[in-house]
Amino acid sequence: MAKAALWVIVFFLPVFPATLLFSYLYRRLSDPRQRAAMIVLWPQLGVLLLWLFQPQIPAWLGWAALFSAAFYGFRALVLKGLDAWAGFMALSLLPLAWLLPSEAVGSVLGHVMMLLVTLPLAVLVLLAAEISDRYGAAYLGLTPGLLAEHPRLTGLLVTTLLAVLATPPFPAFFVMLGLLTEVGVSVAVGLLLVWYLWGWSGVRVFQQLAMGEEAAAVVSVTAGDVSCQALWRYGALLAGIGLSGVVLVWSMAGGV
Amino acid sequence: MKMLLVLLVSAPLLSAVFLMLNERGARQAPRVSLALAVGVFAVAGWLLGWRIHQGVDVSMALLGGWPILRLDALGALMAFVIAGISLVVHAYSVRYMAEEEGQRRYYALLDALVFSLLLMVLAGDLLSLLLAWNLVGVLLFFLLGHNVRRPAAGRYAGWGLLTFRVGDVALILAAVLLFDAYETLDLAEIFQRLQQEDDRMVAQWVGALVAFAAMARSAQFLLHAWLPYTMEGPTPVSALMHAGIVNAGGILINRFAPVFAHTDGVLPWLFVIGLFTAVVGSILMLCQNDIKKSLGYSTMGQMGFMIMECGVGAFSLAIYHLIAHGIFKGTLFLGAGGIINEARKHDGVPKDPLYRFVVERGVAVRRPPWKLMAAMTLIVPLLVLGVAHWLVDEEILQKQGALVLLFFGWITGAQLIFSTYKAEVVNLTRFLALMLFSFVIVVIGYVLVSHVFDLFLYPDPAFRASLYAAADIELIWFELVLLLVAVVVVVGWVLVYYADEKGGRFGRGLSRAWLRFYALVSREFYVPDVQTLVSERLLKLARSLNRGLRWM
Repeated sequence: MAKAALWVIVFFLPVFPATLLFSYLYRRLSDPRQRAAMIVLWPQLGVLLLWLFQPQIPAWLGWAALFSAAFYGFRALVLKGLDAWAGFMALSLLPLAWLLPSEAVGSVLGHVMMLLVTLPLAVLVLLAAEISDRYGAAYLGLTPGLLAEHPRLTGLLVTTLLAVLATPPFPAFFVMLGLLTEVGVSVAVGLLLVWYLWGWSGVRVFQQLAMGEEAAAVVSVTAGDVSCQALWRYGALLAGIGLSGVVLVWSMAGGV
Repeated sequence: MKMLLVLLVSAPLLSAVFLMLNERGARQAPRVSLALAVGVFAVAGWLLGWRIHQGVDVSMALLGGWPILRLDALGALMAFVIAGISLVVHAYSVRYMAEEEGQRRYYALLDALVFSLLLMVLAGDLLSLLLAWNLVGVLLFFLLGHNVRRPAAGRYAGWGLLTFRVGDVALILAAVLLFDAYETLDLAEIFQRLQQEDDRMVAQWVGALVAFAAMARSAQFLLHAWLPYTMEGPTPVSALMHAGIVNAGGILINRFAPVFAHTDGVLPWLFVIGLFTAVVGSILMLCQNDIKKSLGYSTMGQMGFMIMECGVGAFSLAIYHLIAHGIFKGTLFLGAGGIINEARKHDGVPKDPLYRFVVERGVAVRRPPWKLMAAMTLIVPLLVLGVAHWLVDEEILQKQGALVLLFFGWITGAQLIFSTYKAEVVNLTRFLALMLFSFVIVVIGYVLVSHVFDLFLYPDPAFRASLYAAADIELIWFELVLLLVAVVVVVGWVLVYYADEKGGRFGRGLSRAWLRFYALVSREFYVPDVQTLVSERLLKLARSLNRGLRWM
């Protein structure tokens, strides 16, 4: 039973080629709120199943998960659609859960950690929708100079990107550090390679999205910057995520 | 005192948050930020004075265990330097940025960067160090790309961030190894246990990884291409970067000095890489026709020299060097605009002597006799340096590292005197006397200050000796390296004399080799080209994968 459950969980904490299902469903959903919800809830199901069945995780699965993370991180480098990029980043991030010790994944801490690292991705999907509302599409290269035209939106986007890319003080950075102390040196090197790919990808997104002359001349902008209320709403959420990262590390450091 | 320490680190962060949240505060931003920089400088000065006077380290753990802030000699000194440079940069920015857009963003990022730098030098635990080290790279990326209308600014800022990340990866691995070995985040405890247990294997790996992280931050050869190209950012940011951030490699190596004292063979490699970087950086600097790019390569050369000093075990000298370099390079960057402006009015090209004598009716000038200059070139620096070092430490000739530094001091001094050979002067005696006087002052100042730094940063003579010992290599290799470098330098001098004698022309064979070398140098040894090519190939591969696997 536990062995069969493992094959099901592989779809929820997706490892290539079991990523097919996540990828298919993510593309089928057209509403950004549904996509955001999927990014957050999908791995929670995986963690829950791990908790319920507590299967023996074979060693090869860790290596497959690392390969999957690197594979999607690498492919995300050249993606143009921001929501597709968020989907690929999710596929690069989620399999890393297999590298954690099973007692840590299948626990409340596992749920909390997954929530904290997937929330920024969900926010990114929603912000991509905000760009789409203004430019018709959240397509990298189509909206250069976003910062000059929509400074609030860009500020939120950049902060979210930093959270996604495991930059301190956001939780993903500390989860990554925690993970590094649990795995062997060779896996740690692979993990840091994945982290490097995320950084490279993030730099490319920022360069193509926010920099350059304004795109107003080639694309009709249909709305202004995000409202003050939306700024505070998203800002509070991101601040909460950042703060929870500090609290997470504080509790981890306190336990040392 | 502990409250002041917390205030020092947190004040720039609070300022950054305040500026970010205060949407209507663009006009106030420079004043708020500058006032805070003055305050931070005063607190840092007070803390340094206290540390010098009391001579004890202060540690404090916030929030029940993490983060830990530690005020030791290195932290206090570097916090003061960072606060000082930050104050100058803030003051300069007030006028420089007055008509730029995005001022609030600029000052918020600048203050956040100062916070990260202060946390980096005062971090008492691994996690805070990693956090600050990483944030410095990220914030610098945004500051270098401040002018979003220039795509080149963002492109080269990206090069910088990705190079920094290579070093971040190494530092994170080092931190993980240390945590695995000692199960604590407290740096002081880690170093103490490392010393007690004499764990050579951990020290060896951690030392190598920390050295690599320092090399990435301090633009050592093959990790340097971003440095001369990141000139599209605001000038004050360039000044801060060249005066403070690239020096972080030297600070990191000093922070992990207890680890390096237990390594075997890591420091000599650091010396070789630093030496190579110093030579390559200096060659590339001489070939630039853009003042900012030239300054960029000059920084690379200086960073090579700084890493080289660490490589011979002279850790405190590297700190002295990075402070001195920070001050003069910051001044050069902040003055670069004025120099360019001045050059538009006066080209600064020396007039032909005949023109000056006949047309301008100027006083006849002459060159110093070459035999006298050649003798002075070889003897005077050696004499002055030898006496100055002997006065400070009688056993100077027993230490390989000190000997290497003496050797390079001699070469630098000789180069200085040699470079004055072409100067055309009216009063030769006065000229020579002034040159010698300033040289003696510089050397004595350098020797004394470096000795004071040694006593302040590493008061334990046994620990200093262990650092020099970790940098020692077998005597035969040591002598061979010195001989090789001496031969290269002397051949270089002979070639220059020869070329000068022949009116700047070499023989046909030499000319051809020279042209080939110049072509290589003008393409910056193809390092940026190779980096671009590799990244383009990788992106092409990613595109092919996406096309082939578009359904998953």
